[in-house]
Amino acid sequence: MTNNIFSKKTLKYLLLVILPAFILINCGDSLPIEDDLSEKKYVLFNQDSVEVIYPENLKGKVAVIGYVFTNCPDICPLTTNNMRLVQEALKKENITGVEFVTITFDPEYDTPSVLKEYAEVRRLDTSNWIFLTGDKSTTDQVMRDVGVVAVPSDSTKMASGEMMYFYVHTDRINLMDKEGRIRASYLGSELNIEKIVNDIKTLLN
Amino acid sequence: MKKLMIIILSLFIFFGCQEKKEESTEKKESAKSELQKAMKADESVLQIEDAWVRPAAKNRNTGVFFRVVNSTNSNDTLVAARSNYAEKTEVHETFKQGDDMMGMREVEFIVIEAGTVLEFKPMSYHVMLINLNEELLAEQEIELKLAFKQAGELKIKAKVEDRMPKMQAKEEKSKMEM
Ligand SMILES: [Cu+2]
Repeated sequence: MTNNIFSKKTLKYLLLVILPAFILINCGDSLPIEDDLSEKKYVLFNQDSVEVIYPENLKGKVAVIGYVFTNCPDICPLTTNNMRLVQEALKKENITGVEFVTITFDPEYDTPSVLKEYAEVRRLDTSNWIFLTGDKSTTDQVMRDVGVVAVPSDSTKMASGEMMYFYVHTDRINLMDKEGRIRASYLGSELNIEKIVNDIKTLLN
Repeated sequence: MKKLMIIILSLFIFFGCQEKKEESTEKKESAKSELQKAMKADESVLQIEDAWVRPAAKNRNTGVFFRVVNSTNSNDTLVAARSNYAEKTEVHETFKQGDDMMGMREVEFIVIEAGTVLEFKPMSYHVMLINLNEELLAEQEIELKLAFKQAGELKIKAKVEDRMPKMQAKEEKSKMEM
């Protein structure tokens, strides 16, 4: 009777007020954890053939992740362009602590040097943008873990005898928090720049 | 009281955590685009306008985009595209599969109906250059040929640019306002 503050009734009321508030703060921003990669350690390579443990090496930064294959003439360039627009928007606002990551789902074709060229011909700013490739089994696992599907549909036989594959693939850009958890998915080719910039700010805070 | 609390709480959790799914607003525009308005009335031959091509490295692929303005009285059909810049030059279309899958495929021909404008643009039709003989960098210009059933072979020049669909839309809008 003395410790009124801890009475069951008070607790109930507290719960009623605090819990919804808590939920609002955590879920109201609509950035729930979609896929948790925080424990994963995929061994990938960047465009300079330097090993990158993904997403381990990105921890502490918010990451904007795009999935592409460089032989793609239409959708993937839009995804890449949208990432560039996000990068530019952040620069304008002096927002730091964000890394851009492009991962190929066609690593057999997209070697580090091919990815480097891809960035160079588009004159992309690679100061906070890495392009990742690796063993096919590893990139396949990355794609599976985030639900990105890429299936060779069309193929063309080149004069060299080599086959060139065109993929039907998920059109996706992901946003990853500082701990390596996927917090948002967007259509890569039709990204709402303002929205993702706001989501980035939410995750940076 | 307890029951009420549980109900309210679960409702809160349910609605509070509902994920706002990104909705695709994309709808492939029909071949007869609104650009009809922009058509020049008195031209009696097939016109190719505003051609551009994405930058790409040597041995890679890229897409060429443009507008075909058919202000003639008869339908015409694009049957082939040719260029000296790549091992293969094909006419392609991008298609959507399911909610968020995209792919592309070769198309044998495309009809441009009389009095319409057909736009080759991102997420729609493109001329695909496969295995480029040289790298294409912004500001450069390439030549290619489009073969039509009626108009025959038209030579066009495409500027190397890394355009976004939105930018394009803006330009068109301002053009129409003028
Ligand atoms: Cu294509």
